[in-house]
Amino acid sequence: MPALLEELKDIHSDSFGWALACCAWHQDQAEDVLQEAYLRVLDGRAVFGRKSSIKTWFFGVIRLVAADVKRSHTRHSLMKQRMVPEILMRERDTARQNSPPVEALHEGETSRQLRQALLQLSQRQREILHLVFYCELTLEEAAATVQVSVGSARTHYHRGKEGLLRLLSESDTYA
Amino acid sequence: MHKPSHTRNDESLALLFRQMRRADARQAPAFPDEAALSQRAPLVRAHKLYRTLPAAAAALAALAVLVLLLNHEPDRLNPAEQYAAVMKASSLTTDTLLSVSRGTLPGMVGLPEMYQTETISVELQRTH
Repeated sequence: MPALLEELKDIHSDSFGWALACCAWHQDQAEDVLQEAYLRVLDGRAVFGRKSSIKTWFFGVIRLVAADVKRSHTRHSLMKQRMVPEILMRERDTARQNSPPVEALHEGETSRQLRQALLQLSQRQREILHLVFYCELTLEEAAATVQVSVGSARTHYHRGKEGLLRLLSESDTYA
Repeated sequence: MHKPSHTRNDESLALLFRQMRRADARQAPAFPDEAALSQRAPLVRAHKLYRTLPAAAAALAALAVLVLLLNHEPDRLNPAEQYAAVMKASSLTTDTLLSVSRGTLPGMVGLPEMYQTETISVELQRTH
Protein backbone atom coordinates (compact mmCIF):
# COMPACT_ATOMS: atom_id res chain seq x y z
CA MET A 1 0.00 0.00 0.00
CA PRO A 2 2.74 2.59 0.78
CA ALA A 3 4.24 2.02 -2.68
CA LEU A 4 0.85 2.59 -4.27
CA LEU A 5 0.37 5.78 -2.25
CA GLU A 6 3.75 6.99 -3.43
CA GLU A 7 2.68 6.44 -7.02
CA LEU A 8 -0.60 8.24 -6.38
CA LYS A 9 1.32 11.08 -4.80
CA ASP A 10 3.27 11.50 -8.03
CA ILE A 11 0.10 12.00 -10.04
CA HIS A 12 -1.77 13.95 -7.33
CA SER A 13 -1.82 17.21 -9.23
CA ASP A 14 -3.20 15.60 -12.40
CA SER A 15 -5.68 13.66 -10.30
CA PHE A 16 -6.98 16.90 -8.84
CA GLY A 17 -7.25 18.39 -12.34
CA TRP A 18 -9.22 15.36 -13.47
CA ALA A 19 -11.45 15.55 -10.38
CA LEU A 20 -12.11 19.21 -11.23
CA ALA A 21 -13.08 18.27 -14.78
CA CYS A 22 -15.37 15.50 -13.50
CA CYS A 23 -17.05 17.97 -11.12
CA ALA A 24 -17.51 20.75 -13.71
CA TRP A 25 -14.72 22.67 -11.93
CA HIS A 26 -16.43 22.92 -8.58
CA GLN A 27 -13.38 23.01 -6.37
CA ASP A 28 -15.00 21.91 -3.09
CA GLN A 29 -16.72 19.02 -4.79
CA ALA A 30 -13.51 18.04 -6.59
CA GLU A 31 -11.58 17.98 -3.31
CA ASP A 32 -14.26 15.78 -1.74
CA VAL A 33 -14.24 13.46 -4.73
CA LEU A 34 -10.46 13.15 -4.67
CA GLN A 35 -10.47 12.50 -0.91
CA GLU A 36 -13.13 9.82 -1.34
CA ALA A 37 -11.13 8.24 -4.17
CA TYR A 38 -8.06 8.03 -1.93
CA LEU A 39 -10.18 6.48 0.82
CA ARG A 40 -11.58 3.89 -1.55
CA VAL A 41 -8.04 2.91 -2.46
CA LEU A 42 -7.04 2.84 1.20
CA ASP A 43 -9.91 0.71 2.47
CA GLY A 44 -9.76 -1.70 -0.45
CA ARG A 45 -12.96 -0.67 -2.19
CA ALA A 46 -10.83 0.21 -5.21
CA VAL A 47 -8.11 -2.30 -5.98
CA PHE A 48 -5.37 -1.73 -8.53
CA GLY A 49 -5.22 -4.89 -10.63
CA ARG A 50 -2.11 -3.76 -12.59
CA LYS A 51 -4.06 -4.34 -15.81
CA SER A 52 -3.51 -0.75 -16.91
CA SER A 53 -1.36 2.17 -15.87
CA ILE A 54 -1.98 3.54 -12.39
CA LYS A 55 -3.06 6.85 -13.91
CA THR A 56 -5.73 5.22 -16.09
CA TRP A 57 -6.96 3.13 -13.18
CA PHE A 58 -7.05 5.93 -10.61
CA PHE A 59 -8.69 8.35 -13.03
CA GLY A 60 -11.38 5.70 -13.52
CA VAL A 61 -11.87 5.57 -9.75
CA ILE A 62 -12.17 9.36 -9.59
CA ARG A 63 -14.70 9.33 -12.41
CA LEU A 64 -16.83 6.73 -10.63
CA VAL A 65 -16.71 8.65 -7.34
CA ALA A 66 -17.67 11.86 -9.14
CA ALA A 67 -20.61 10.06 -10.77
CA ASP A 68 -21.72 8.78 -7.34
CA VAL A 69 -21.45 12.27 -5.89
CA LYS A 70 -23.39 13.70 -8.81
CA ARG A 71 -26.15 11.12 -8.36
CA SER A 72 -26.27 11.88 -4.65
CA HIS A 73 -26.51 15.60 -5.30
CA THR A 74 -29.20 15.04 -7.90
CA ARG A 75 -31.24 13.08 -5.42
CA HIS A 76 -30.82 15.48 -2.54
CA SER A 77 -30.81 18.88 -4.14
CA LEU A 78 -32.31 18.92 -7.58
CA MET A 79 -33.06 22.60 -7.30
CA LYS A 80 -29.46 23.39 -6.46
CA GLN A 81 -28.27 21.45 -9.49
CA ARG A 82 -30.62 23.44 -11.71
CA MET A 83 -29.11 26.63 -10.42
CA VAL A 84 -25.52 25.70 -11.35
CA PRO A 85 -25.79 25.93 -15.15
CA GLU A 86 -27.58 29.25 -14.83
CA ILE A 87 -24.76 30.61 -12.70
CA LEU A 88 -22.17 29.33 -15.18
CA MET A 89 -24.01 30.82 -18.16
CA ARG A 90 -24.28 34.16 -16.39
CA GLU A 91 -20.56 34.00 -15.61
CA ARG A 92 -19.81 33.18 -19.24
CA ASP A 93 -21.88 36.08 -20.55
CA THR A 94 -20.13 38.47 -18.19
CA ALA A 95 -16.78 37.09 -19.27
CA ARG A 96 -17.66 37.51 -22.93
CA GLN A 97 -18.62 41.13 -22.39
CA ASN A 98 -15.47 41.92 -20.47
CA SER A 99 -12.98 39.62 -22.16
CA PRO A 100 -9.80 41.41 -23.19
CA PRO A 101 -7.63 40.20 -26.13
CA VAL A 102 -5.94 36.85 -25.64
CA GLU A 103 -2.46 38.35 -25.31
CA ALA A 104 -3.55 40.37 -22.32
CA LEU A 105 -5.36 37.55 -20.59
CA HIS A 106 -4.02 36.37 -17.33
CA GLU A 107 -3.26 32.66 -17.17
CA GLY A 108 -6.14 32.12 -14.76
CA GLU A 109 -8.48 34.07 -16.98
CA THR A 110 -7.52 31.97 -20.00
CA SER A 111 -8.15 28.85 -17.96
CA ARG A 112 -11.52 30.14 -16.91
CA GLN A 113 -12.55 30.77 -20.49
CA LEU A 114 -11.27 27.38 -21.53
CA ARG A 115 -13.31 25.79 -18.75
CA GLN A 116 -16.42 27.64 -19.84
CA ALA A 117 -15.92 26.49 -23.42
CA LEU A 118 -15.36 22.92 -22.26
CA LEU A 119 -18.56 23.05 -20.23
CA GLN A 120 -20.51 23.67 -23.42
CA LEU A 121 -19.26 20.44 -24.95
CA SER A 122 -20.81 17.07 -24.23
CA GLN A 123 -19.49 15.26 -21.18
CA ARG A 124 -17.72 12.60 -23.25
CA GLN A 125 -16.02 15.15 -25.51
CA ARG A 126 -14.95 17.15 -22.47
CA GLU A 127 -13.55 14.09 -20.76
CA ILE A 128 -11.63 12.85 -23.77
CA LEU A 129 -10.15 16.27 -24.56
CA HIS A 130 -9.16 16.76 -20.94
CA LEU A 131 -7.48 13.37 -20.72
CA VAL A 132 -5.61 13.83 -24.00
CA PHE A 133 -4.55 17.46 -23.72
CA TYR A 134 -4.43 18.07 -19.98
CA CYS A 135 -3.35 14.68 -18.68
CA GLU A 136 -1.41 13.81 -21.84
CA LEU A 137 -2.88 10.35 -22.13
CA THR A 138 -3.08 8.48 -25.41
CA LEU A 139 -6.48 7.92 -27.00
CA GLU A 140 -6.36 4.28 -25.89
CA GLU A 141 -5.72 5.29 -22.29
CA ALA A 142 -8.42 7.96 -22.45
CA ALA A 143 -10.86 5.43 -23.88
CA ALA A 144 -10.03 2.96 -21.12
CA THR A 145 -10.48 5.65 -18.46
CA VAL A 146 -13.95 6.66 -19.61
CA GLN A 147 -14.79 3.09 -20.62
CA VAL A 148 -15.60 3.61 -24.28
CA SER A 149 -14.12 2.01 -27.39
CA VAL A 150 -11.09 3.60 -29.01
CA GLY A 151 -13.15 4.36 -32.12
CA SER A 152 -15.76 6.14 -30.04
CA ALA A 153 -13.04 8.04 -28.17
CA ARG A 154 -11.52 9.13 -31.47
CA THR A 155 -14.89 10.44 -32.65
CA HIS A 156 -15.41 12.33 -29.40
CA TYR A 157 -11.88 13.68 -29.66
CA HIS A 158 -12.28 15.09 -33.17
CA ARG A 159 -15.78 16.46 -32.68
CA GLY A 160 -14.86 17.87 -29.30
CA LYS A 161 -11.78 19.54 -30.69
CA GLU A 162 -13.74 21.15 -33.50
CA GLY A 163 -16.38 22.36 -31.08
CA LEU A 164 -13.82 23.70 -28.65
CA LEU A 165 -11.89 25.58 -31.35
CA ARG A 166 -15.12 27.12 -32.57
CA LEU A 167 -16.18 28.17 -29.08
CA LEU A 168 -12.76 29.59 -28.27
CA SER A 169 -12.71 31.54 -31.53
CA GLU A 170 -16.08 33.01 -30.65
CA SER A 171 -14.80 34.06 -27.25
CA ASP A 172 -11.50 35.40 -28.65
CA THR A 173 -9.52 33.18 -26.31
CA TYR A 174 -8.08 31.22 -29.18
CA ALA A 175 -6.07 33.41 -31.52
CA MET B 1 -0.59 3.30 -28.63
CA HIS B 2 -2.21 5.97 -30.72
CA LYS B 3 -1.12 9.50 -30.11
CA PRO B 4 -3.39 11.95 -31.94
CA SER B 5 -1.65 13.67 -34.79
CA HIS B 6 -0.62 17.15 -33.76
CA THR B 7 -1.51 20.14 -35.86
CA ARG B 8 -1.09 23.83 -35.18
CA ASN B 9 -4.55 23.84 -33.61
CA ASP B 10 -3.61 20.95 -31.38
CA GLU B 11 -0.48 22.71 -30.21
CA SER B 12 -2.46 25.82 -29.40
CA LEU B 13 -5.03 23.81 -27.52
CA ALA B 14 -2.29 21.94 -25.68
CA LEU B 15 -0.84 25.30 -24.66
CA LEU B 16 -4.18 26.42 -23.26
CA PHE B 17 -4.60 23.17 -21.38
CA ARG B 18 -1.08 23.47 -19.96
CA GLN B 19 -1.95 26.93 -18.67
CA MET B 20 -5.08 25.52 -17.05
CA ARG B 21 -3.03 22.70 -15.60
CA ARG B 22 -0.59 25.14 -14.02
CA ALA B 23 -3.49 27.20 -12.62
CA ASP B 24 -5.13 24.08 -11.20
CA ALA B 25 -1.87 22.87 -9.70
CA ARG B 26 -1.62 26.07 -7.69
CA GLN B 27 -4.96 25.44 -6.02
CA ALA B 28 -4.58 21.69 -5.61
CA PRO B 29 -4.91 20.53 -2.01
CA ALA B 30 -1.91 18.85 -0.45
CA PHE B 31 -1.65 15.12 -0.83
CA PRO B 32 -3.07 13.55 2.35
CA ASP B 33 -0.09 12.71 4.55
CA GLU B 34 0.45 9.44 6.34
CA ALA B 35 -0.79 10.90 9.65
CA ALA B 36 -4.12 11.85 8.09
CA LEU B 37 -4.38 8.45 6.46
CA SER B 38 -3.51 6.62 9.66
CA GLN B 39 -6.28 8.57 11.42
CA ARG B 40 -8.62 6.96 8.96
CA ALA B 41 -7.27 3.49 9.73
CA PRO B 42 -9.79 2.70 12.51
CA LEU B 43 -12.58 3.78 10.19
CA VAL B 44 -11.17 1.57 7.48
CA ARG B 45 -11.05 -1.38 9.87
CA ALA B 46 -14.62 -0.64 10.90
CA HIS B 47 -15.62 -0.43 7.26
CA LYS B 48 -14.04 -3.83 6.58
CA LEU B 49 -15.89 -5.24 9.58
CA TYR B 50 -19.18 -3.82 8.38
CA ARG B 51 -18.57 -5.25 4.94
CA THR B 52 -18.35 -8.77 6.45
CA LEU B 53 -21.61 -8.39 8.39
CA PRO B 54 -24.01 -9.31 5.56
CA ALA B 55 -21.98 -12.44 4.78
CA ALA B 56 -21.89 -13.39 8.46
CA ALA B 57 -25.65 -12.86 8.78
CA ALA B 58 -26.28 -15.01 5.70
CA ALA B 59 -24.04 -17.77 7.05
CA LEU B 60 -25.83 -17.65 10.40
CA ALA B 61 -29.23 -17.89 8.72
CA ALA B 62 -28.06 -20.86 6.63
CA LEU B 63 -26.76 -22.59 9.77
CA ALA B 64 -30.05 -22.01 11.55
CA VAL B 65 -32.00 -23.52 8.65
CA LEU B 66 -29.64 -26.50 8.59
CA VAL B 67 -30.04 -27.13 12.33
CA LEU B 68 -33.80 -26.82 11.99
CA LEU B 69 -33.88 -29.36 9.18
CA LEU B 70 -31.65 -31.85 11.00
CA ASN B 71 -33.62 -31.69 14.25
CA HIS B 72 -36.96 -31.95 12.56
CA GLU B 73 -39.06 -34.76 14.17
CA PRO B 74 -41.48 -36.66 11.93
CA ASP B 75 -45.11 -35.95 12.61
CA ARG B 76 -46.78 -38.34 15.02
CA LEU B 77 -49.15 -40.78 13.39
CA ASN B 78 -52.81 -40.41 13.94
CA PRO B 79 -53.86 -43.17 16.44
CA ALA B 80 -56.76 -44.16 14.24
CA GLU B 81 -54.50 -44.56 11.22
CA GLN B 82 -51.94 -46.43 13.32
CA TYR B 83 -54.63 -48.86 14.50
CA ALA B 84 -55.88 -49.40 10.98
CA ALA B 85 -52.35 -50.07 9.77
CA VAL B 86 -51.76 -52.68 12.45
CA MET B 87 -55.02 -54.36 11.71
CA LYS B 88 -54.30 -54.52 8.02
CA ALA B 89 -50.78 -55.83 8.48
CA SER B 90 -51.90 -59.50 8.96
CA SER B 91 -55.20 -60.92 7.97
CA LEU B 92 -57.02 -62.29 10.98
CA THR B 93 -60.04 -64.14 9.82
CA THR B 94 -62.46 -66.39 11.63
CA ASP B 95 -61.32 -69.36 9.56
CA THR B 96 -57.72 -68.97 10.51
CA LEU B 97 -58.69 -68.68 14.18
CA LEU B 98 -60.68 -71.93 14.02
CA SER B 99 -58.14 -73.98 12.09
CA VAL B 100 -56.42 -75.53 15.07
CA SER B 101 -54.32 -78.65 14.72
CA ARG B 102 -54.04 -81.46 17.19
CA GLY B 103 -50.57 -80.40 18.13
CA THR B 104 -51.80 -77.02 19.10
CA LEU B 105 -54.35 -78.25 21.59
CA PRO B 106 -53.03 -81.61 22.77
CA GLY B 107 -55.38 -81.71 25.75
CA MET B 108 -58.33 -81.98 23.47
CA VAL B 109 -57.24 -85.12 21.67
CA GLY B 110 -60.15 -86.91 23.28
CA LEU B 111 -62.58 -84.89 21.35
CA PRO B 112 -61.82 -85.98 17.85
CA GLU B 113 -65.05 -84.78 16.43
CA MET B 114 -64.08 -81.26 17.32
CA TYR B 115 -61.08 -81.44 15.02
CA GLN B 116 -62.62 -83.15 12.12
CA THR B 117 -62.03 -81.21 9.05
CA GLU B 118 -63.85 -83.56 6.78
CA THR B 119 -67.27 -82.72 5.68
CA ILE B 120 -69.67 -83.41 8.47
CA SER B 121 -72.61 -85.46 7.50
CA VAL B 122 -76.07 -84.09 7.89
CA GLU B 123 -76.84 -86.79 10.42
CA LEU B 124 -73.88 -85.95 12.52
CA GLN B 125 -74.88 -82.33 12.44
CA ARG B 126 -78.31 -83.27 13.67
CA THR B 127 -76.83 -85.44 16.41
CA HIS B 128 -74.85 -82.54 17.69
